[in-house]
Amino acid sequence: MSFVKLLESIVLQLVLRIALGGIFCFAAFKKLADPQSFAEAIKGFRVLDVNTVEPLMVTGAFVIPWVEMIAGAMLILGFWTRAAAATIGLALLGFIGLLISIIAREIDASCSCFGDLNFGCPDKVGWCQVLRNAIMLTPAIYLVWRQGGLLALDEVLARRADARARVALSAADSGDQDAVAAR
Amino acid sequence: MRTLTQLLAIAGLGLILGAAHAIVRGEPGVTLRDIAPGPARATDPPTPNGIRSGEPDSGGANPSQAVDGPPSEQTAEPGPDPSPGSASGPGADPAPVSADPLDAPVHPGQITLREAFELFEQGAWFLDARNESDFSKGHIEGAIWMPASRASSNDGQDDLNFIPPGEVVVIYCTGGDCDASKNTQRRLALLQYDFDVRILGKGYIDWIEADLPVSLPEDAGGDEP
Repeated sequence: MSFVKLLESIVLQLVLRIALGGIFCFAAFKKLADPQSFAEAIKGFRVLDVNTVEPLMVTGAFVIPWVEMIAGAMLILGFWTRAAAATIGLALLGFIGLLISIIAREIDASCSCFGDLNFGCPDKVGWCQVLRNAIMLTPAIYLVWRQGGLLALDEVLARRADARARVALSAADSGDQDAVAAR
Repeated sequence: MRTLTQLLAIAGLGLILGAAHAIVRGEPGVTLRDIAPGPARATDPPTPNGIRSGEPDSGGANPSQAVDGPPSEQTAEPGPDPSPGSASGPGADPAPVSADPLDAPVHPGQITLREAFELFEQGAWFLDARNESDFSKGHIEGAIWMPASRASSNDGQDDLNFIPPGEVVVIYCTGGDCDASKNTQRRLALLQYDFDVRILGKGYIDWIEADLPVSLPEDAGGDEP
């Protein structure tokens, strides 16, 4: 591995994996700590009619954070990195679309993206949250492209599988040679 | 194809765990249903002058006779008589439309600006359900900052425990069709607070436009209503 590639692997892939995965795990934890608030935020987005699909919205208030938590944890571990990054990327695209729809409809909605924390943006949904999600989308796309990098479980498992395949191949090779010698 | 399968597996695992979490969470469960006015609240006379929630155009006591009406120079729409309370006095036709913004109609189960102001004059508790930045820019005089999420927090519960059970509590948010006040009302019900909760049908914007008492930060000179 060249020095530049090693540096990219350590600095970019590892750091981005831990940062993005950590952000999503934290966001999921904050939402799961107060699912009532997140359910109310979903209701406030006014995409679905609460009178007809209330159970669906309440279940969504649990499912969305759990998907974020699983994808975030997998990203940190570097396990199924491409799929985890793709999940986060798709979630971010969905959130961006939803936020733009809320802004366009001029709804006074609370984001609840990180529970009761706002991280530099006002609580009310606006372009700040769209920009924040777009910024997070960039490393997600990068990780879909480049995958886990150094210290990723994918890498470790791939290396182990590679080594196993090589042993099997060499065993097969030596078996062939023995057979030739016997002839 | 492998990535797509893994992606679906992540989503499926999240769905299973989320659904299981929703089922096993137990009480108080998560709900999004609006809290209907309780029977005790609807039948009992909760205030000395007979104001009842959910009856914005009731023919009960005329608030303008009971308290000094706040200055109200706004006439949202032309009407035959813009004087306060003239359209809702005893014997008036049911549900007349008043030109006075204080009597502007509200949804069932909510109170008008006039009823809220009267409760304010009687010393009712006011909870501001808006976000912190809106609250810090100005709020109804004496109001406690209490969005739904804060009601569950230790800080919020310290404030709520200060309010004696059974007291009249008016919750408001920005105005229009804002949900925040209903969210706080729902949270108080889930936390089993025994307050006589009223929802202000209009919001803070309407309150300041009616020139009713507000607290503003000292440096916000330009925010005078």
